[in-house]
Amino acid sequence: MIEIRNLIKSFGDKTVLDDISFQFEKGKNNLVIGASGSGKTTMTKCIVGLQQPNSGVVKYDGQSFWDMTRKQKAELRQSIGFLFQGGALFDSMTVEENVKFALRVFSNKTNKEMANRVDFCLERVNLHGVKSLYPDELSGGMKKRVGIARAISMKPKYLFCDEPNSGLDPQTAILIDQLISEITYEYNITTMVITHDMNSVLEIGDNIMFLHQGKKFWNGSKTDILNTENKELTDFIYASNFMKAIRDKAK
Amino acid sequence: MKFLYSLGSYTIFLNKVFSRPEKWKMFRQNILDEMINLGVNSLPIVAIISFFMGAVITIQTASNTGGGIIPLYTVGFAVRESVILEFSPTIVALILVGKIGSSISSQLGTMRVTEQIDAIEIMGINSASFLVQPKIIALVLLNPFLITLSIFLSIGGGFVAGVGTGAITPYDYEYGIQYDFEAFDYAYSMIKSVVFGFVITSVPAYFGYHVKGGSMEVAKASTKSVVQSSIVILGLNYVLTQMLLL
Repeated sequence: MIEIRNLIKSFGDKTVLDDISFQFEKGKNNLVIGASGSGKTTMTKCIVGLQQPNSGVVKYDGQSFWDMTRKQKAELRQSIGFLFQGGALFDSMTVEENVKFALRVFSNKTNKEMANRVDFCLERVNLHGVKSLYPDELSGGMKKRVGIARAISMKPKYLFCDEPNSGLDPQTAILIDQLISEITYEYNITTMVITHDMNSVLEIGDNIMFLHQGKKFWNGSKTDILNTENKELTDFIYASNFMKAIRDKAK
Repeated sequence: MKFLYSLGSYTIFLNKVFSRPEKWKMFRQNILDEMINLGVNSLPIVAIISFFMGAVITIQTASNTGGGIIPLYTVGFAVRESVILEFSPTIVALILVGKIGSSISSQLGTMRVTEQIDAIEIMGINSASFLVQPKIIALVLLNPFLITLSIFLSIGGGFVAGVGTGAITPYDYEYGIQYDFEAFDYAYSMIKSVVFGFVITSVPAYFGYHVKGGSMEVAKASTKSVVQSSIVILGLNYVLTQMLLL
């Protein structure tokens, strides 16, 4: 479980995160939704330690991240998998080398054991015959899958996904959502997904937080969200005609 | 004030770069890869520049020592001295800044804006150490060899041009390049090549690593890194010369 308490982050005079508290639960798909610029990515960067918050607490299974020593932080990060919005695959490496990267650095596995683990991870994300390809030879959906395979290569306890289905066609987007969800339940890990895709919310949202202008405006589950009367959230959810049609039909 | 901020930031960056590698086996392999990438792949440009540099210095010196008052072997002597003391370590360093420095800066800058550096950090790896330290060590180790090669090729180029055009006899040239040779001149050149090897890799790495924004900023950082590295090399060239030769 990851807990954040009273998280505040400012850039100059601009407050990007304003007193955010939330619990990302283990074995659940924890979704952070909100419009662009609402602070989702900044919050994630504060949680994983890429940016230091001005104040507030980030706890991984009860242990405060910012009180950890450098060594403890490095050890914790080995248990974090991160899927970046653009994939962030190492473009000078093949798919196999990308997935193997953390294993080479941190594990004492033999080459054969590492190759087996790479095969397993690629199999898990339904990728076949791409091991020797470079990232620029892959489609957007394949890049995301390789990103997921790389993220799970070290058997993470925490999985972060930054807009995992942005730029993907609807079918692939749903497949990626389902894959993240399956991995979360299968390995019983704490997963945090940043998204502004309502399909994802309704598909996999077990525990949802809505950010608006740097503040937490709402939290609940995918079954609660359609019944909310929170104005900022309803404006966000029903921005598209598709969602308005769903609402009208439900009425 | 901005200079002091940059110097402080550069020092902090170097402190991060020179921390203990995560895995020695991988670190050694990375150094070897960078030796090939930065050093061996620079051989053709170093060879071409050095050969023609020596040829031009010889012809220019010969054209200015005609008339019989100054002995012809002075041409060989002048070529050797100028190549060992200045041209090979400094001019080749400035050329390498353009080739290697811009490449390092744009590689790291691109990795920064495409979040590849963040990906390395999140895995618990010190990205500065992992990406930059092998480059610095590789060039610091290899630059003296590149400069030594450059010295030989420049003197060789001078021989070909000088003798080929009839500006100097082979005997005079060979006598000149051996005349009054001080071994310390070569040591001075090697000290400069080690220092410049460090600058050529670390300064562009600093600019590339700290890129913020998109492709435009990567390009700006690349240009800035070449300009700043060149200035640092010229400044250090003066300081080292005064310290070691006076």
